[in-house]
Parts: sequence; structure tokens; C-alpha cells
Amino acid sequence: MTPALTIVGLAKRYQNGADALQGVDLEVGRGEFFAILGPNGAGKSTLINIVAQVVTKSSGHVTVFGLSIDKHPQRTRMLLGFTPQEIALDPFFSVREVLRHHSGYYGITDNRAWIDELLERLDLAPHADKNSKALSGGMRRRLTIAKALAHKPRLLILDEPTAGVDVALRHSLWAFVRELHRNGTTIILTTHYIEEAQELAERVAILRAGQVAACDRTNALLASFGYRRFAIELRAAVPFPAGFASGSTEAQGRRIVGEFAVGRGQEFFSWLGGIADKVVDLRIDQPRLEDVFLHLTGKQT
Amino acid sequence: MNWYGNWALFRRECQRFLRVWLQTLGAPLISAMLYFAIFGAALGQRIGDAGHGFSYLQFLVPGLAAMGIIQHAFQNTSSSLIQMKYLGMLQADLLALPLNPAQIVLAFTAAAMVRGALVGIGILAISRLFVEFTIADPPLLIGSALIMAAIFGLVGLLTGIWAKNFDQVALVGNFILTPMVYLGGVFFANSMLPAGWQKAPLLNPIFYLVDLFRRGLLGAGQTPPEGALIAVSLVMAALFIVAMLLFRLGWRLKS
Ligand SMILES: Nc1ncnc2c1ncn2[C@@H]1O[C@H](COP(=O)(O)OP(=O)(O)OP(=O)(O)O)[C@@H](O)[C@H]1O
Ligand SMILES: [Mg+2]
Repeated sequence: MTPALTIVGLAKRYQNGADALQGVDLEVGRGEFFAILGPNGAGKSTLINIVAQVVTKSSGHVTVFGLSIDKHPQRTRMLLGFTPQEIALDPFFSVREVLRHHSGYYGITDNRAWIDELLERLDLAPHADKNSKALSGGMRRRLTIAKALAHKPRLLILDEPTAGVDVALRHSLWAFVRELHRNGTTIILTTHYIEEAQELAERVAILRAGQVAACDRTNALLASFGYRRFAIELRAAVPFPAGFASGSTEAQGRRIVGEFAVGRGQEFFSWLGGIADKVVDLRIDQPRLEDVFLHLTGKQT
Repeated sequence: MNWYGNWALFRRECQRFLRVWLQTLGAPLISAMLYFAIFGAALGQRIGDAGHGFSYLQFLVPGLAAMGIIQHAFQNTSSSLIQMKYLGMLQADLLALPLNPAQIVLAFTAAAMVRGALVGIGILAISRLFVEFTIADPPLLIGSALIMAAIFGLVGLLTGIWAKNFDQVALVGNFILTPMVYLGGVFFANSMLPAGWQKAPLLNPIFYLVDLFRRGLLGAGQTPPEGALIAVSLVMAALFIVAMLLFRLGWRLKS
């Protein structure tokens, strides 16, 4: 079966000369839940916008369910639903009207049942007849997601869908997206909430300066990650271990927090043995996707 | 082909101006009445005959209707596009839609034609309260009105694509469109001009459109209609193709 999305050698140079993407290769399988992570300006939105055909590419190939976006621009657009990072809604229409129009663009003549369900699931039902101007930021965000889902796309691409959405609604949003995923929709999203990606996504790509710094199953990225965070409480100050760990001392040297390289674990543990009589408490944490992210994007603390 | 999608975009573009009908349909009727008050009550008698046995007011009726059609068809597309740009709606509400460039141009142009037609009908109806006239050639009147609306809907669309902000749209409206309309035979027949200037309006494309429309209403015009009809149809087709190509390229729409 052809993948949901194939990206080969994708490059983008904006008119002002900014090289947003520099040769990106990605493949997202059918039915996958895929997250694209990366610091501000890494090129996540550029990538998504090219797939959605709202930004032109400079070179490379993109296919959606085996169809090239160059050869089949309409058919590929029909297959995917997309929310841009910047929210913009038509100020002339109510929530329900916006969704009715959006269904129409995709050739759906009567979408009332699905629109009602979308309004319900995205907690927009009480606001259905409000003008889109009268919505709060989080409601506007949810309406853009409802728009992307109006035609029940097989591939859903969300650019920072949870930015500005409150905690409770974020959870209900994720429950809904998970359900869509269970029913076979391929999901691609970007987020700056990395714990969210760790929890939801089966696979992640980490972009850095327009290139793929890592792309693997979330579990594999965590398992192969070569650093562990630790925290040690001490009875008396000891100097910070050099070489095999990085971090800092706190509370006049009686607390040490940092990371050690798994490959140099022996040095770490023998140093730990040497100060064992002063240790009150020791914690070594499971790696988090956030740690992987910070290492790969060169911003670890 | 996703024709229902096409219809949905057309419907949205119509609803946008119908929502604010007072401004989009009411305003041109008010200004038409003002023109009649000024020219009818105050100046019309002094101007006298406008040729072919028509009074000046009779001559003015199709001119004002044509002006309304042109201005409002232009406004519908240009304001819609520039507003979408300004609000950031282009991406999700236009460029990502599963419609090809021809369908997008068609939907926008058709909505501009609807608005132009409504304004035109409104002005003619109001005029009838002030002036006696009968429609001489309904097919020509309707045909030329639709071509006129399509052409200026397309001009508005191109302006909206090109413009980066509302000011640039206003610039085209105030410094190009309005002078061309005012000098395009809305208010005067060429025979009313000083001898040396009588040929000048022939250089103005709007003159031919207004003249065709006037011939449709009054049954008499200043230029032969056949050539003009062919020419304006070609202009319409050319503008349509240019707009389509710009959408395909994403010029000034996609970064
Ligand atoms: N329209 C544009 N014109 C010029 N440069 C742009 C444009 N959009 C983005 N860029 C540049 O391209 C690079 C990638 O931007 P992009 O928006 O894709 O990043 P991102 O990963 O989505 O960041 P964020 O997390 O902040 O949303 C940045 O350097 C940005 O300045
Ligand atoms: Mg972004």
C-alpha cells in the first residue's frame, strides 16, 4: 500500500532568501499518528503548508496517497484536511455557516449530521450560531479544526492544534483525534508540547534548521537516547562531577541535578560510589521525548 | 469535477455582499437618486437634447446603471480578495480548497456579476420613477450588462491579487477606474464635447461597454455594436485566462 504521505528532497527558499527547508525526506504510513517537532523557525509550518499546497515548493516531490501534488492538485487537496498555524476565520459567518460552506467546497451537499457531531465533539455546540468574530481564541482554534474535518479527510494535518486551548478542552480534543485515528484517519501534527507528542504519536520527526534531525518511532528514540537525568540530595557539599555529566549544583552544593551519558555510566556510578556516604536521596529518570528533543536541537540545559 | 464546490464558493461570495446589503446594494441606489436630483431638478433642463431625440435624463439613465454595475462588480471581487489577504484567510479558505483555478475565477466572477446585475436592476428601477423610458433591446441590455460586470469583476479580482493592502485597491479604484468611468460616456455623449475632443472617448475601453449598454436600453448608440461586442467578449476571455494563470502560479497569493 502506498503511504499516506511521501516527501522526497523537499526544499523551500522563500522570496526573501530564507532557506526554510533544505532537502527533507519523510514518509508517513497509512493510519499513522505522526508528530513533527522542532524549535521555532525549524520549518514545520513550511513543510505542512507545502503539503496543503498553500505555499509553493522550490524543489522536491510530495505525494499524498500515491498521488503527486503537482499532477493531481485537486484530488490530493480533497484527500487531506489542514489547519494553518495562524487562525483566520470569515467574519461574515456564524460557526455553523462556516462549516456548511466548508463542506460545500468539498462537494458535500448536506453535511448537517456530521457538522452537528463535530460541533458536539469539539465543544462548539453552544456557540454554533455565534459569529466567528465573537469566539474566544481557543474556540476559534477548535473551529479551524472542525473545518479541517468537515469532509472527513483520510489525512488530517494540524499545525499546532492545541496552542491556546485550555487543559480540559485539550484533553477532549485529543480524545477526539485519537478516535479519528482509531477509525483509520492518518494524523500529522506539530506541537511545542513535547509530552503531548510523546503520549500520542507513534512516530516523530524532529526538524532542525530545515532538515530532519531525527525520525523514528517514539519508543525507539527514547530507547536509544544516550543520556539520563539525575538528581542527588546530599548531606554535605561535593564538587560537581566533571566530564561524564553535565548540570549544576544547587542549595550550596547539597543538591546536584544534571544528565550523564549512558555510555559513561561506569564513571558516573563509581563517582557515585565514592560519595555514597553523603547521599540522602538519588533519582534517575526515564528519558523523556523532551530530552531527546533538546539534545537534537542543541538546546539542552 | 467538483461542481458543487464551485457553487459553494460562488454562494459564499454572494452571501458576503448580501450580508451587508445596505452598503453593497443600498448605497448605489441612494447615489443614483442623488444624481437624478442634481441633474434632473437642477441641471438637466439646461443641458437639453442628448442626440437621437433623447432628453439628457434619458441619456443619463443607462450611464448611471452602467457606472453602478462597473463599480460594484469591481468592488465585490477586489474587496473580497484583499479582505481575505488582510485577515489571513487565503490559506484555509481559498488556496487549500479542492477547486481548480478556472473554478475559483468562475465563482468570484459570477458573484460579481450577480452583484452588478442587482445594482443595475435597482438603478434602472429607481430611474423609472424620474424618467420615462422603455427597454429597446432586452437581450443586448442583459448581455452587455453581464459582460460589463464580468469584465470588472475580473479587473477587481486581478487588483485584489496584485494589491498588498486596502490602500492599493483604493488607488486603482480612485485613480484608474473612476476617471475612466467618468470619462467613458456615463455623463455625456461625444457630440457634447468640444470639436477637438470628440474622438478622445474612443480610446477608453469603458466607453464601448457603456455605449453597448445604452444601445440595449435606448436603442441607439454612438458606435457600431457588432465590433464592440466581439472586442469586449475577447477582453473578458483574456482577463479570465490571465486571472486563471495567476491563480495557478499563486502569484502574490502563495509565498
Ligand atoms: N512567508 C515567509 N517569508 C519568508 N520567510 C519565511 C516565511 N515563512 C516562514 N519563513 C521563514 O522560514 C523558516 C521556517 O519557518 P516556519 O514557519 O516553517 O517554522 P516553524 O517550524 O513552523 O516555526 P514555529 O514553531 O515558530 O511555528 C523561518 O526561518 C522563517 O523565518
Ligand atoms: Mg510553525
